[in-house]
Formats: sequence, C-alpha cells, structure tokens
Amino acid sequence: MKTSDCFAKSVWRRKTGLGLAVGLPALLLALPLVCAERRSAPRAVSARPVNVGRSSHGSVRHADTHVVQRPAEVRREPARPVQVRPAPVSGRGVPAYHDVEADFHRRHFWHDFAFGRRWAALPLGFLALQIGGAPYYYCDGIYYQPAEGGYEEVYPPLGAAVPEPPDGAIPIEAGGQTYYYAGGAFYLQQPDGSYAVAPTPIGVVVPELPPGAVQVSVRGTIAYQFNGIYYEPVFVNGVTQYETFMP
Amino acid sequence: MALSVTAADVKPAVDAQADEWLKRMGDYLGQAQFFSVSAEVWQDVQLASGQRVQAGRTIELQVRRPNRLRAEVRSTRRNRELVYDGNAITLFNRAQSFYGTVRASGSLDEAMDVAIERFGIAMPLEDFLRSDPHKDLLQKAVSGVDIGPVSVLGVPCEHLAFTQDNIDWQVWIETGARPVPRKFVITYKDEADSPQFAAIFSNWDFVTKLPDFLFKFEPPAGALKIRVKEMKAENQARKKEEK
Repeated sequence: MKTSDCFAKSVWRRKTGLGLAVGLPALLLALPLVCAERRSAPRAVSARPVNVGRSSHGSVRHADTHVVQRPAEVRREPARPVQVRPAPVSGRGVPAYHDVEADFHRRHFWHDFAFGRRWAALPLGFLALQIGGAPYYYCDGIYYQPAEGGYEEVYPPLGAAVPEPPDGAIPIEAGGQTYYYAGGAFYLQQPDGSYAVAPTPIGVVVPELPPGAVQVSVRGTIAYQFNGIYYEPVFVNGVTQYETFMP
Repeated sequence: MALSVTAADVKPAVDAQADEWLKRMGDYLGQAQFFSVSAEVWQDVQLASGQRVQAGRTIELQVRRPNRLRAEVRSTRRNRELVYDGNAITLFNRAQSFYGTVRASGSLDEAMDVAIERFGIAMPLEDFLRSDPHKDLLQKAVSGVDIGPVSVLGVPCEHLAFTQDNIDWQVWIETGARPVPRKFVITYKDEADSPQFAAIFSNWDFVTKLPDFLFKFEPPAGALKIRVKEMKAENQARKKEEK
C-alpha cells in the first residue's frame, strides 16, 4: 500500500469523523496483512540533488553551477534539557514556509501535524509499531499513540522504522549520509531497506520548518523549536532556510 | 607532429547576424546608466511523482550603474527583495520580515561576483545586468544562430538561439531603436527531461530617474535581522573556477 493511499483515506477519515471508529476492530484484524504488504515492498528512493536548483538562477553565466548548497558537518543531538523563553510573538501553527526560488509548495499529509491533537480513529492504512515497548501508529509522516478517547499525534519517536520515507520527504546530505526530512523527523535508510527516525543532525540546513514548530527567543535571537531541537532562520543561497542547533 | 587543441582555441560557431544582434543588445544595456524592467518568470519543476509543473514569479529590477541594484521577487506565497547600495547587499524576506546584510563593494559586476561566489546568491536575470552582457553571454557558447523575426506579445523581435555544453538558450531581442530582450529561455539539456526557465520582459524604462533612496534598505518596524550563511571555502573555489 502506498502512502498516497494512506493520505487519501485519511482525508476521508477526517471528513467522516467518528464514523470510522466503528470499523476500527475490523481494521485491527486486518492490520498484520496491511503491515506485511507495506514491509514486503520497500521502495528505493532516489536522492534528488540537495541544492537550490540551478534552473532557478535563470542565468547563462552560472549554468554550470550544480551545487550551491554545502554539505554540513554533523554533530549529534546532545541529550540535555534546554531552557528557552518564548518569544513575544509565539504560538502554535507556524506556517511551513518553504522559501525556495521557485515558488512551488505542495502540502503533504505530514504538514498537517499538530502535537497532541486527538482523533477518534487512526487513518486507514496505518502501520503499527512498537518502540521501546510502547505502541505507536504511523501514517505518512505522522505518528500516533493511544490516548483517552482514541489516539493523539506525537513527535516522531527515535528508532521508528518505516518501509519508505514519507511522501515528499526532502533529501538532506549531511555527514556523508542522505537523510530524508519530513514532519520534523530525519530518516536514514537501514541495511534492511527500511527508513528509521534518526537523531536530528545538528548544524544542517533544512528548507522548511517542522510543522507546528514554536517561535522562541534564544539568546535574544529568533528561533523555532520542535521536539527539543532548535531551528535558526538563515539566508542560504539568498533564500530563508533553517539551521538546526542546540543552544 | 601531434597537434593539441584546447577549448580556448575553438572559436564558437556563432553566426554573424546572431552575434551582431546580441552585441547590439549588450551594448544598449551595458551603456545604459539606469533602467527599470519587469519580468515574468516560469520555471519547470518536477514533482516527486515525476509529473512536470511550472512555477511562476515576477521580478522587478531597478539598475543604476555603476553600483546600485534593487530586485524584488514576488510570487503567491513569497515576496523577497535584494538591494545593493554600493557598500552592502541586503536580502529581505518580506513574507516573514527577515533581513540579512553582507558587505560588498565596487561595481555591480563585482558585487554580483561576491554574491554568487561567497554566498551562493544568484542575482535574478544577472546576464542582462552586467556591464558587458554580450561578452558574458557568449563566454561558453558553442554555437549560435539567428532564427529570424518573430513577435513577442505583439512586439517585433529577432529570435536568437545558442548552445552550450550543458544548456541551450534563446533570446528574443526587440527590433528597432531599442534592442532590449523581450523573452529569454534556458533549456537545461543535461537534466532529466530538459527543464526550462523562461522569462518574459516588459516595462523597459530608460527614462525615469532612480534616486538614491530606492537603493537604501530601511528595515520595516518589527523586521528581524538574521544571518546570511557563507558558502564553504571549497564551494567558493569551485565558483571561481566556473567563472
């Protein structure tokens, strides 16, 4: 089953609301089959060039410019809590700006992520996972855990392995590896072909903020926070992008 | 005796008429002390599914030689400015009210070189802003032909087509007393499905004066200054080699 199926069905689920909760037991019965199908067909993902496309330049003079983004040196995410002060204009739902040269931004399922949002039922085609002994459910870049009255959206758990990166995941070259960035998670391909949520590489630049990143002030500078990681807006190749950091 | 031929020895096969038209355009733009122009740009973008779509934006350019430039790029979700005042290049993301400044000095050509080599910033439609567009455009041309007369949005033009190793490009130059580009297309033939970049020019203005304040960036209330990330040294070296 493709993630697009998951997306389409989940849209339908969101429109029908609680109605699908009735069918949940049947879905759970079918779950092993769905998961088996998803896992049996890992799809190779081709890495698109990690750059601001030279076709964006519209320049004969720079027609040979293939890579204007530089590969980042990666530091691992430190395991320490960080105190931050919310900025005066803080809040949820920061738009997922994607300030690339060609103005084309297609919303994907995971752009709609909102931490803690609750649902009566899971999207059709979800994948059941066990991470550290805890149950998680996954659908196209969004993770869920059981909560009172249904399920709630949660941050991507480290180590969660899925058959393919979420639809529209952005390849990020860093530390000699290709990460696939979507919904605030960085996926790395595993030896078995699956893609696992990896610790966020620190010092990499991503073209858009994770959905629901919260604006904060860090040492007097604007930044955005998502799942304990900070994103500093910077101009890269003339457009606004976001560099991961830990204060 | 073995003969060796280097790329520098190979003269591009640009026909005389095409070269003449390009020179007329280059001289006209290069010698203009100031001008304004608008451009509508369409660029092929490939979705992850493989489907090809076009993304559009408009660009407003104001140039005052030797060292002033203002460019505004607008699209549905974005509004970005780039200002060069002879001492600094400022980038302004109006949608989020972020701005960043880097030092640059000298002529427009020198500032554009600093922008691309150190910061990876390609000025919109740079080929037509430089002091000698004819020379710069033909730098890597392998061949060029004059396709003939054609109209662009009702304006009589001469259609020229050039090839390089990895791109083809075309320019439509207005015939008559004012040989300005009316259309410009680059085909990236070394990329899958040869995506294109196309620009349609309008509102060429060589009369209206461009005062200093147009090139002085004043951050609006609430705008936040952010870093402009410099490219790594190895990429800067690569850029210089490409020149």
